[in-house]
Amino acid sequence: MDFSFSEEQEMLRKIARDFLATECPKDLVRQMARDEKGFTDDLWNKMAELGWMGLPVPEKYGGIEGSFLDVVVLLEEMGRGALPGPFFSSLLGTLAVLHFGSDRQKEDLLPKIARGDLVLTVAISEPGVGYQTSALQCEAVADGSDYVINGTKLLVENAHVADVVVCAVRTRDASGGQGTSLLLVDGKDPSISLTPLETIAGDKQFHVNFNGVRAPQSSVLGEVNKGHEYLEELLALGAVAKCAEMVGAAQAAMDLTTDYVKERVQFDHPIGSLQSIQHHCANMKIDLEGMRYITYLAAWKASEGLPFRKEAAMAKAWASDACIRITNLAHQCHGAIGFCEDHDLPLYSKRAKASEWAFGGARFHRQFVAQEIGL
Amino acid sequence: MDFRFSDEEEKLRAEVRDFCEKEPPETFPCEIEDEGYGFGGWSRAFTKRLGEKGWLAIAWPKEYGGLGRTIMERYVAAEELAYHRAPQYGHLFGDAVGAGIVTYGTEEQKKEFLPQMARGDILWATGLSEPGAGSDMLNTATRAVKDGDDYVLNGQKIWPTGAHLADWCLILARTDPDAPKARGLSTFLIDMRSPGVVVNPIIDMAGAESFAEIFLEDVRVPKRLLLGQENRGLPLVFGCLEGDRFWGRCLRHAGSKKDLEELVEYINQSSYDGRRLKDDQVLRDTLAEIAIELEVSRMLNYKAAWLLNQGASISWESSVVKVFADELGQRIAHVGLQVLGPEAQIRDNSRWARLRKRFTFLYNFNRGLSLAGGTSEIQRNTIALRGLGLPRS
Ligand SMILES: Cc1cc2nc3c(=O)[nH]c(=O)nc-3n(C[C@H](O)[C@H](O)[C@H](O)COP(=O)(O)OP(=O)(O)OC[C@H]3O[C@@H](n4cnc5c(N)ncnc54)[C@H](O)[C@@H]3O)c2cc1C
Repeated sequence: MDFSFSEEQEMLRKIARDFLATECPKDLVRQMARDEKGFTDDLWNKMAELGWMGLPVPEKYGGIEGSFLDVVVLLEEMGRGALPGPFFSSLLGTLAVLHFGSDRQKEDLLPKIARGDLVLTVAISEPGVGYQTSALQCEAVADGSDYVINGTKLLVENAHVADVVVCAVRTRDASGGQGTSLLLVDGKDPSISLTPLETIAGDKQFHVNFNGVRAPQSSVLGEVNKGHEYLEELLALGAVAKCAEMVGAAQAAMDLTTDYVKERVQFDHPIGSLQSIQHHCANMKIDLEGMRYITYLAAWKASEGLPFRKEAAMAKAWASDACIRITNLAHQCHGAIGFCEDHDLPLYSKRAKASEWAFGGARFHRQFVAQEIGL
Repeated sequence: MDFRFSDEEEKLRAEVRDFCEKEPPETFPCEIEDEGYGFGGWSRAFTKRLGEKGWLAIAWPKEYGGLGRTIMERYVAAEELAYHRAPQYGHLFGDAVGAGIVTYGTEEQKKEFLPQMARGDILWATGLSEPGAGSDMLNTATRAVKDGDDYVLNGQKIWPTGAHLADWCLILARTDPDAPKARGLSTFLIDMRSPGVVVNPIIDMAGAESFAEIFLEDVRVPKRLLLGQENRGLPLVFGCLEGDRFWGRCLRHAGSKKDLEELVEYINQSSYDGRRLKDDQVLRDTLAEIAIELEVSRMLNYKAAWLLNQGASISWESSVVKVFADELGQRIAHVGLQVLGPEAQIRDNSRWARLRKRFTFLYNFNRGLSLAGGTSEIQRNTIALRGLGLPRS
């Protein structure tokens, strides 16, 4: 049993924390929420110089070949720093290529990804469909050596800057075979139309229409019609990755709150000496501890190549609720100042809501857990 | 990061499992029923049997009857026993005293008590609370006055678990009434058969005789039974309680595993109002949530065990373990009765009678979990002050 991170991981954490503190101040984060693009090339390039896009990429493709746990450490810091931009959505696409891609696809994409030259995103949810992959409607029908994609994807993150979209579709072959597949689609294809969505957290999400987009057979990720399994794994990885980000965000909300209640004086004493406030803070701490270790358990299992879907579902279900409880209490402890648009706290509480839904909310994952415990 | 247990730990776990299969824990008589802390019932016979195996003192030094192994090994053994609903109440709950003697005891005290405790020959109670000193332990009024080679104790203790069954009791008493409240307290090891000790069991709201009151009237205690330094009893007690909060609660996930399994089995086989329970989405959601919370509890427990194993202090961490485990225990009992429905009130002879009886009992008893060993409010104070560094009021 070992609850500690390795020296290298602690180093990565420190570098990430320092870097984000200087390069990603909260004013920039707020500005980016209003900005159309949502991030700066300068920040992206500096992150690329640190090798972050290539963190999970094998060395032979120009990456750092870090473990999934290493990635989790980085994501935690990004959550803490409320980093804007397409790192997370691109990471998910990267994981899809890494886990299911052919050697050719990897050779083609991973070096560019590792350099920060290629941005990916993942398109799964649709209007009226979340992550119940069997209910997806978007279709790719075989036509000669291509698939022709028609359909609509909703809440696609950073589609406006994505060079490659990993798209979940129902495939139909000429031979009558069908199933779910993952396709690598050119994000700049003219037959794709994007509508930006105004969202609670100011992140850049899109309504994406595929109007007869042609993708060659070679763009199928892994085997055709096997996409259901891939998606389940990708969603589980995404859920754990999101949990890591949420742990960082919850930690930030906790730190903001403890700092504030030590400073803020009312009735001649710091409000942190009042028991109502202390108990709010204690409840936040209990939830935060819980989130942290259930997340690490799932992340560690994924990192070790052990079965981790149940743990991922447990972590995401718990973290989704806990993170909201934590940011809610953080607001209560802050009074009106935390209610202001230009305060840091809303950055976290709004993201907590967006994160709750990403890769399935608490009830979605509990349905799975219910089956797992034998119901 | 690594959440695997070591080979030695797994080996010990397998031995314990094997033991539980050969000598089913439920065949040992219990003096106090399983109250849902996670560590099963109170059984002198079982404790004694564990003593024969050497499993009461896994992490104590060999010279005092221990096995000289790690705290993590000790934890793994306790966890495995808890999965089998083995009755560990008698020794785990009173374990704070053992820890106190190991840390603060004189050589003489260690030689006198530890080997006997390791064998399971003597069981302990802890007498801290008093009618006027519950959460506010500083208000302890029981007096200990030096008289020649003895101390003479007078006062009243209330709520010590199993005091009517225990052989010995740790007693907190005031040795210096003139010193500031925190600096005049000392701890004593009291033989329950000493003249002047009167114990009356108290029946709790679950109907069990789980705790007691102790009257001390001119009880003579030889000086050698003062534990730690005179007037330094409070830090000692706090030190012991840190471990006590942990060991008394760290088995929640293991102890409740079967409860959850039994509820799942019941749901899968039962109907109410003409509908199959397993089709009830709300129930499914609730049970899944309990399963998740048990897993969260497991990780919190492991984290604290890992810290303890390295000799680190777990002041606020043990409070996190305790609050989470106790409130989860209460939720489990609540959910259990939701599942079992109105019929859980009835003492019937149906196939599910045992399950119903257990949950109805737990539901009642679990009101005490968040009080015993320091209330949840006090634990939250500790988390806020020690864990987060918030200012004192
Ligand atoms: C099942 C059971 C077993 C027990 N076993 C033992 C034992 O083995 N040995 C032993 O010595 N004692 C034992 N106790 C006693 C237990 O330690 C006390 O009940 C507990 O410390 C609370 O004291 P009290 O009951 O006097 O409540 P009080 O201290 O009067 O508390 C009443 C309420 O006020 C709150 N409160 C008090 N002070 C504060 C504060 N500073 N901040 C916020 N809220 C506060 C409490 O949280 C609680 O909600 C046991 C109790 C139970 C129920």
